[in-house]
Amino acid sequence: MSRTSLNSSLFSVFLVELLWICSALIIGLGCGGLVAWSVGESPVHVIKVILDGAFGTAYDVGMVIYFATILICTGLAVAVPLQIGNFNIGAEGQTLMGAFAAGLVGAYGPSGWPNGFAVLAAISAGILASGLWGSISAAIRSFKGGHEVISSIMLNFIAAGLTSWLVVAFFQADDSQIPETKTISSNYQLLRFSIFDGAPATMVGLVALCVTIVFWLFLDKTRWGFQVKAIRQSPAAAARAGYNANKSMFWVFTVGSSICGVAGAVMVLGESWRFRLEISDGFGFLGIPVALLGRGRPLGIVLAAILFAVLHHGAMLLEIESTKVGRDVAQVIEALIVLSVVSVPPFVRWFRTKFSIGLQS
Amino acid sequence: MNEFSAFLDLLLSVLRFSAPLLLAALAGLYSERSGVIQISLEGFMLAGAFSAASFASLVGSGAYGLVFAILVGLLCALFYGFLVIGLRVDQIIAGTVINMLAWGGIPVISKAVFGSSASTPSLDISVRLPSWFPIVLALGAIVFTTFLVRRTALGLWLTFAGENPDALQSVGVSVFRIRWFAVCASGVLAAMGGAALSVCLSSSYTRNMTAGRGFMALAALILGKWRPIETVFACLLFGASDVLQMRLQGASLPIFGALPNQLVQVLPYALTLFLLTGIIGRSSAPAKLGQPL
Repeated sequence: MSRTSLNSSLFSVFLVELLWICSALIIGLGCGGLVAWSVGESPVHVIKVILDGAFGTAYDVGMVIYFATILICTGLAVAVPLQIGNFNIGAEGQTLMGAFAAGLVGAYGPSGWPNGFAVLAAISAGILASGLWGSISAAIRSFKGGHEVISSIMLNFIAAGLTSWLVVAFFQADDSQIPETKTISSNYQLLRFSIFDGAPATMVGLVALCVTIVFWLFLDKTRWGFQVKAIRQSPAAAARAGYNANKSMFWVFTVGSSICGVAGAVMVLGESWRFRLEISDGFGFLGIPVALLGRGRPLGIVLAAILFAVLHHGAMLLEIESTKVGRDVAQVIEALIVLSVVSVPPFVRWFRTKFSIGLQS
Repeated sequence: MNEFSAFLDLLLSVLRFSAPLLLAALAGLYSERSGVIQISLEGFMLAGAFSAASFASLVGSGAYGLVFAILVGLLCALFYGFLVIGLRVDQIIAGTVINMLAWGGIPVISKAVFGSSASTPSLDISVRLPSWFPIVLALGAIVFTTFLVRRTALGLWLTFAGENPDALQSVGVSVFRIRWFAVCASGVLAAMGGAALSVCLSSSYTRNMTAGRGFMALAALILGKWRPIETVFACLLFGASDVLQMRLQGASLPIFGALPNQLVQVLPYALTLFLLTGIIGRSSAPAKLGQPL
């Protein structure tokens, strides 16, 4: 096959994918609009309010960047294990553990360390904690064959219970009535960009972008990335080639879940400045739709994270601007988008076989 | 005598707590035995709880609320079935989508109908169903399910649909139909569990009132090794740990000292996790769980 035809076929695959994602977005948003219309609110108004809520002021843009930073990380935490065929539904618990570890380092670590080093230490602690938490699921999956989805769900509950107990029993802040740790020392706080009026948009956003690129380089340009894809697409051939599927699964899952540590650390060091219960607030869970919408591509994940951040933050303004639709509509739209992403191809397939449209692809 | 009545009281509250969970776990049992992963129990329960409470407050009858919840549960199950059996969408993704739709959609509907996304109007005591009713429902479901799974041809087909669908297909039984039946039964039972929460055990639907019970039911199902009677005991264990952590608030026990109640609550999950590792016995899933036909 000549080089030009290879390129053009790659290009057409890309076009089909783009068409597919775009149509899914339109269907999802359209159905979301239908939902708004059916409860007596103008869809145009809802979209206008969401866009206004997300981009109206510099502060809002900063918040969108903050949420997108978190969602890129949790999205990656789901997308990376998905590359080898494992479903990480435990990003919620992993994020919680990462936030907890980062919060502890921030609150009890040496307060003399320079800012950059201190932040790095706290984020590393978060990464370590998340990775360790994820490695439990990973070990059960790869060495004992227990389903990773089930163990992840259990670990989400256990993480919530464990952090709640640890905070109440050992690390409760004296100056607070609700269960939370004490405020982190000032040298552990992430510096906020001043142009966003105090919104917690930080350098970590750029770091998250870099992590995404590294992840892409790893998958597309290294031997290990090739192994991962081989194991997923053809386990038998991978075994014949001598790849150790169990070992790869363990490491891919563990590394993937450790990215949640960055998300957890951003929440604590960037925004709340202390660990409190339920700080992960569903963001770990939202990593699943972000990963699915991003199709495991770096650019896709970043764009999906930004879209979800816009929906998430923008919809908060609906609470004020609309009497009929609340911010929950954002989650409905997100669910509908994912639903159309996963059901459009089988639907098209069904349509084609039904009417036998011979389209080669 | 006083201690006896206290014990009886404790036992009853364990049963009351376990009943919705039991219904949901049995719901999962039908679906998962037939080979369809059921991660959307949480969504089904929420839909059942909300529709029961809202319909009951609109027509003024708890019983109608329950019936309506069953219909809504069936509808949700048909949707799920269309996705995973009809379109063969990945079952975990489809389940996640259903849960997201329930988490986001119910507050939207609630706000549109009742003007509040936090809860439905409080039901009068005369409208509510008695708090022993879920126990009766659960008992009925247990007897029916156990009989069906162990003593009937349909039960055998259900097991084969999950373990060896090709064999079932080759003797002329439609695996599609069995799985459709299983998913529908699952929706109905889970919605009943949700309805029990909102119209029997409390007086309204409050935001996210199932609080993870759908996932808890899944854990109980695994702890019960996908078998009816064992699953019942697993549910009772979850119910007991829930009641204990509420009753034990700070109380100190003779041997352990003050037991941290967060850890008591986490215990069943830890147990399930251990079971997955195979260290304390093994719980093996139906062979073709999660694989579309």
